Amino acid sequence: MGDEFGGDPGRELIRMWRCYKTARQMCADRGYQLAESELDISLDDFRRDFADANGYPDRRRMNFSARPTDEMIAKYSDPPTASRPNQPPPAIGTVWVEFNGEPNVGIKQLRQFIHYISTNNFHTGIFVTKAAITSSALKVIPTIAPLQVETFLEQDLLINITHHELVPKHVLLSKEEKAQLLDRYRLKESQLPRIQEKDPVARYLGLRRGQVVKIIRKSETAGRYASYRWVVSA
Amino acid sequence: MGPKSILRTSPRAADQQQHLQELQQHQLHQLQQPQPFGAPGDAAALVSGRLPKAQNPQHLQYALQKARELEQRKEIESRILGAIETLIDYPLIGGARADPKQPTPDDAASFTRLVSLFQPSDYDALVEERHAAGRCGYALCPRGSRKLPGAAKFRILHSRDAFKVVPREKLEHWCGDDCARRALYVKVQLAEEPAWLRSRDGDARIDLLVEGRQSNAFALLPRLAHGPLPADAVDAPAADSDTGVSEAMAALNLEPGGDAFGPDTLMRDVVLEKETTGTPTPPSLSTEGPDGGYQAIEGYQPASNS
Repeated sequence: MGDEFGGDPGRELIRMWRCYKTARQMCADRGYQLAESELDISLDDFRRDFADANGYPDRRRMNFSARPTDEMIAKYSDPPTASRPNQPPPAIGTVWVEFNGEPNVGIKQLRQFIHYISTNNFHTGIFVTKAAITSSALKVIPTIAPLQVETFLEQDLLINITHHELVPKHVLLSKEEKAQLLDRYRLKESQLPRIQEKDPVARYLGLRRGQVVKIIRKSETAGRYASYRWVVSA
Repeated sequence: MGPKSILRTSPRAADQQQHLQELQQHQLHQLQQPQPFGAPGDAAALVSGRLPKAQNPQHLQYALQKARELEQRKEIESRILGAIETLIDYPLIGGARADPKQPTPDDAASFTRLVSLFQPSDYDALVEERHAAGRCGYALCPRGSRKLPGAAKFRILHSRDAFKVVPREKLEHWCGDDCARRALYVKVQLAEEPAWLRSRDGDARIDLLVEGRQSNAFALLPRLAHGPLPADAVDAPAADSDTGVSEAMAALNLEPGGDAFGPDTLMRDVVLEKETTGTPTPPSLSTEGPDGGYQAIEGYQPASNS
């Protein structure tokens, strides 16, 4: 747990440096606009930018926001339908990532975060906490739709799981691509293999129920092998 | 060799134009197709519209009934969540000077009303939430939660007959042992049954542990929610508080649903032994028997080589 590092400013700083890098890479992998140079900040740069006078990381300064790229907006847009000939707004927008170092995170803290993202017109909020969020606070999240809030523990972001050699590449399909896929294989979406929303990679990519993700694995016989999974809520 | 896939993961710039055209054609194609379902709206209409005509109406009734139950359950769950959120900021009256031993009637009444929906687990969630907000876990106490000295994760509690090892967090939920006792007094009265399964709503009566200002004895105030008490009831001597205890215990025995159950109407278990007709024999492994013995497979006797 985090406590064993609590007393040492250096270790705490390194922990937060790793969290920060993973959070940045996560946003970039989802398709938000982040420069390549921002993804792999060096420890010295991190210390210069985010350490306070005592050498501890200052979490409030680490918060950042990012806008989606055009590619990502296209992926999250609905194709126009007969009932809605005008293109409906995309189901994605700017993201706000906030780091919270309080020893207890409950409804109060989460409400403050939600208030912040709603007053500043963010579409998605990513709340990275040091302590586990209380169970009743997590029940608040589904009640604030269409605002999207995702929560991560600092501990979960210490390493970027998608960089592990056993984790295959996951690519989110747009609605059109999904329709093409189902058409090509004459499937209903319920006939696809499934992946849970709480799956670590699904959480990393912020997948939502009903989306289809393409998983590209290495194969000894076929070189590369693509499979598709339908996101279901747990 | 690349994967045999119909989809391009990253269309190159040259491809993109053609890709877009394909997409537009696809969208046009979709526009011409009839919509399979009507506008989402009335759930019942949707369900009945999708069902084949020969569907049993009883099944439909059952499905609708289940759907309503689920809806009611969700509604109550959201009320419980709202109650937890409200109770984080208690006590409302008196600010920092509010006294957990003598809560104001308004606060006490609304607290017992809100808490009557809870299961014990919801009450634990409330304590946890108040702790996260830096307050004492007992909702009628305005003080902050205590901070124990030292960094040990567990504490040893001494009592007359036993030791107990308790996680430090559990002790830090309250401002002191008195509040812990008061909070536990409320928790044990909560029904284990979830609120959406209880027979009637709002009938559960929760009593608070209220202490007289002069005497050291704890006096029970069974009907605090129904108005302020006469002064002599609060400062009652020990002899009088005994009758209060027995009354309160009798009230506690009642099911929260109301008058349907009592200690007398509880079901009695009767154990009936089967009559023995002969001397019992232990089971044996015999190859012959009515069903072919132990080697038989569903009655079929396989040919054996031995």
